[in-house]
Amino acid sequence: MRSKKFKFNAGLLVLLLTMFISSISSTYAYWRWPAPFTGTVNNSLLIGDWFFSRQYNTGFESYTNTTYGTYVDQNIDGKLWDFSQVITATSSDDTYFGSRGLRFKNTSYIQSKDSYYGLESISFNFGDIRGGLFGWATSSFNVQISNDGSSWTTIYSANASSSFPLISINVENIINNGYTLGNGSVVDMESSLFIKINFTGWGLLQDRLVNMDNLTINYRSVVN
Amino acid sequence: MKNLKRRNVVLVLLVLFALAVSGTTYAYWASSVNGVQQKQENVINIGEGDAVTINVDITDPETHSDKLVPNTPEVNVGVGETKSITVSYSVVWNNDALLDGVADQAISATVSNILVGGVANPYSLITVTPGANPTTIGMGDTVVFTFTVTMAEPANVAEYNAVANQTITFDITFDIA
Repeated sequence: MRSKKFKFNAGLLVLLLTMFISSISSTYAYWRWPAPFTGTVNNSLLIGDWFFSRQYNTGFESYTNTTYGTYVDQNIDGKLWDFSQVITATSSDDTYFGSRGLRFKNTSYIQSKDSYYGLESISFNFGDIRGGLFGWATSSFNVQISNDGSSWTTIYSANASSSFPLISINVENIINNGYTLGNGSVVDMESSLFIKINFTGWGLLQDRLVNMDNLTINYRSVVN
Repeated sequence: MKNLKRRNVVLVLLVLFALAVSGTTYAYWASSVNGVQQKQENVINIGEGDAVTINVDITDPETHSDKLVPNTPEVNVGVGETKSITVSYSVVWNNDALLDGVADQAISATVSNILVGGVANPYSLITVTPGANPTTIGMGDTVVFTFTVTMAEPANVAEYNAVANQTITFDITFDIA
């Protein structure tokens, strides 16, 4: 009897083993998994342009020449200027702010040796015109710009006043959309420009004199 | 006598087990060699059915027309300008019955090939910073990736000229594994 019982159990074991192996095979056959995915997208964006505002101010307090002549590369508050027939103005006949200003005589000028990128505006006080017997005199002045420091184009002109008004020139309005200089160059707010202020005066038997002070130049820089 | 019977029983069990194992092994070889159709199905499930190509859509619904300027306080932002641009992408893993029940997968996105006017990120002025982006995605899910593009301030005119009014291009590569 014991022997038969063992034979029965062995058959059952074989059956179970066969079912187990069959089960493993079926499960494995239906196994799926996602393949690795890689996808690339390309982006395109625009960069603009920009600037930092700059301002140059001077009251010409460091300019002390008292003899008419031509003076080049004068460092006035960090910028270089040439002067011609312009001296410091400190007498009681002069009009100025602070301790001194400038006095122009007859045909005279100041001009920048440094250029100004993105020139926005120029302002200065100019006037107290005097000289010339019986009032026989002329006295005009103009403001010029240049892209090379040698060829000048007038952007503002007027007669000097007996008072001392603030002259303001909005250069940006003039050149913003492109402005053709006398030398054919077209300049705009991305140009670097030189500045010149001319005085042309004549007086009967006397020098024609005029004062200037408090020059402000607003311009731009692309780096901080 | 009793011990002899027990030995016989153990011997029978061992023989049966050996037969069962050898039978399975034989069946596998037979399918591969002879191409029995029923067994070949198992081979296909193992060899070709292992990895399923997943269906993924990547979309960027936004357009970016504002121009990028340096991300510094001294720069004034004008009309049509911005100090940062955020690009976003929706990644959709579309449902697929073949992968029902599959676990979430790892997902990543990397930025490469940053060019400005065709030049490789001049002076390293451009930075593309990833947002708090997802790390996993499930089948049927939509996840969103963001990247913020900024520009450092050029230190001199040469650096300014290298980037001003230029076009930035860069690649974002998405990986699901």
